[in-house]
Amino acid sequence: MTKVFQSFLLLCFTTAALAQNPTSILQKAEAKLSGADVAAEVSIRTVRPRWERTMEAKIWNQGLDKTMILVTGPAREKGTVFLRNGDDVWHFVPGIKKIVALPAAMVQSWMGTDFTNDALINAGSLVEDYNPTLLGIESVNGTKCFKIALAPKADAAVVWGQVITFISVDQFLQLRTEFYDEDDYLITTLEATEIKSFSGTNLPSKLRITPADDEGNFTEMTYKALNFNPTFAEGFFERSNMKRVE
Amino acid sequence: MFKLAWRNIWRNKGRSIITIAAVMFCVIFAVVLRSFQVGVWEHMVGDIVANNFGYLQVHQKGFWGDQSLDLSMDEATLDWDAMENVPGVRSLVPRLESFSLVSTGDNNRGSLVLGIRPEGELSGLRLTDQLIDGRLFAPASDEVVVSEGLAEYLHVEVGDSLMFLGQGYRGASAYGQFMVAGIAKISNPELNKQLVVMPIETAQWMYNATGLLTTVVVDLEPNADFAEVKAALEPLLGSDFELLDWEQLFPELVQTIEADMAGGQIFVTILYFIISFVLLGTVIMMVSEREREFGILVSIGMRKTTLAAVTVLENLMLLVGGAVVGMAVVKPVQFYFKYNPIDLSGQMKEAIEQFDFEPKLYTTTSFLINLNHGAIVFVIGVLVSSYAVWKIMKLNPVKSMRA
Repeated sequence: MTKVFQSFLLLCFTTAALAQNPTSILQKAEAKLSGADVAAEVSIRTVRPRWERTMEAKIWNQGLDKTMILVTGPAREKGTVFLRNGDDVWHFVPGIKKIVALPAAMVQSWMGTDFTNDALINAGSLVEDYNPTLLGIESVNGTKCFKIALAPKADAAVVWGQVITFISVDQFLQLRTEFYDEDDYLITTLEATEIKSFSGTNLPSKLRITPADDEGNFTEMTYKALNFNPTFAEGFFERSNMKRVE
Repeated sequence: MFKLAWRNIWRNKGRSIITIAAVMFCVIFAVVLRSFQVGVWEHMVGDIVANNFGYLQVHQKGFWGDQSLDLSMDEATLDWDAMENVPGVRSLVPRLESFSLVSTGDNNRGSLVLGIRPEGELSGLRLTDQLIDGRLFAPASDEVVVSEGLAEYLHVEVGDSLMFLGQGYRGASAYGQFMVAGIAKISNPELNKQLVVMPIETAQWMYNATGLLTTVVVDLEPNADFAEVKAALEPLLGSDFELLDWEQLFPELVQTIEADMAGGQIFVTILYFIISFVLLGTVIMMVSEREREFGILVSIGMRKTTLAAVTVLENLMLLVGGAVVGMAVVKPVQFYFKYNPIDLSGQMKEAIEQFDFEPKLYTTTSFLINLNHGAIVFVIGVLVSSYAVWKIMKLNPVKSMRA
């Protein structure tokens, strides 16, 4: 009897969910962060079974295709800059005072973390690169979420075979995203927790990325400050600014 | 009986020579074929693998599978003295190996970086004979030696500077800008395409891995058996370490060798089938030619068993003769090609180089192969002779004399 009741409930939820358009859910979620002009200060903690390491960084973002990341600590990495402007991705290494173009395949680890270059610098837009399908409603850490499957569009330059994202029903926050390869193997999971108000906007302040295969490995990015209306000087996202940016 | 057999052989010289020649060529073909096959692999394992990677390597447990710098070991945790005192160990060779993007500004390529102390290295990486341009780096200097293939790809020459970018120990970033002091031709073709060698201290600095090693190569005395040394070393290493022999380091190579050997054996088996029938032919010819003679011998009182024994003996003499001559003839050939390998050219060369093998055909001089194939031919001879035995045992003297 309970089973029948559960199925009925599920059916109700599913129908309610299906009434929503997955694309608009995704758009609302993305509007919160990506594509916006943002200046953030973060700390990035990489955890391994035998050791852990914390880096401090500043991230600036303008629109969908301009990103600058400045590493401010620890000392060995201080001054390291990553810049994406359109299709070009550059890496400034202060130790050898050189700017290096990063290769197009962006799947390597970013500075030894579990973030790939692609995830951090080249994030792109889920709405633009994927076709969403609403699968239903599921609870993530006690919060009701839309479960949306994303299949890459034929011409999208993305590395994943499928992405499943959970977007909270009440605030349209992307609380959990699972990344699968072409063979449908789970590769990494991105979880967003500790929702805080940043200049009036509620956003998760902690992003944790956990690779599926390596037990005990994860990377946690904590937003310490987030400014939604930064003003960027002319030429801020230019290569020449990489050695000067602070 | 020996005398009788010996005389019989010379009664029909033509037939005897055909048999001897057939056996001889069979042995020569089989031995030459196998010598090249075994020789190529012997060279591959001995010169290319052992001289660059060694027969035994010590790592932190899991390093070889992961190839991650995070699984490197502290120099101080190894009991160097105890390990060096194991019989059969000539020396221990410390290395730090990892990957890095190497860039000239215009060109870049993922490369294997090897931090070493050249004076204590295996002969393949001592970098004295291998240098084709420039000189060796000074210890702990900001200088590197680049492999020939990589230098060509990056268009760098001695005196140019190279930038390195990669992943260091425990998440640190690895970077450096070093000068090309020399260019070396490394005997292992795969390494020759992607290797950068630098002083071990420089590599440790670049990867933020001071005092750490990824690999300790165990250099063996020339005649030491690696399995014995391995067994003796194992108890000296704690459970934090792994001690791998070359077959564990390069399982694909072992498999390739096995597959290739199996292929060669099939070919040789076919060869032996053909030769068996040639021999059978001569035996049948002999038996039918001498049917009348056999009939007379039996009717004047020679026991069939004696007659069969003489015939078998005859055959064996021919076979052993042929096999010995074959083995003797092939020996100089084996020695010649061991020291003067056939240099392949053209498409064949390109195809083989793609598989990271040296495009040269070496032979082995191991006598075991000659002996093996001599023995196989002998066994075939015995089997074929049994036809004559069978024929003689069911001989009807009256009928055969009328024939």
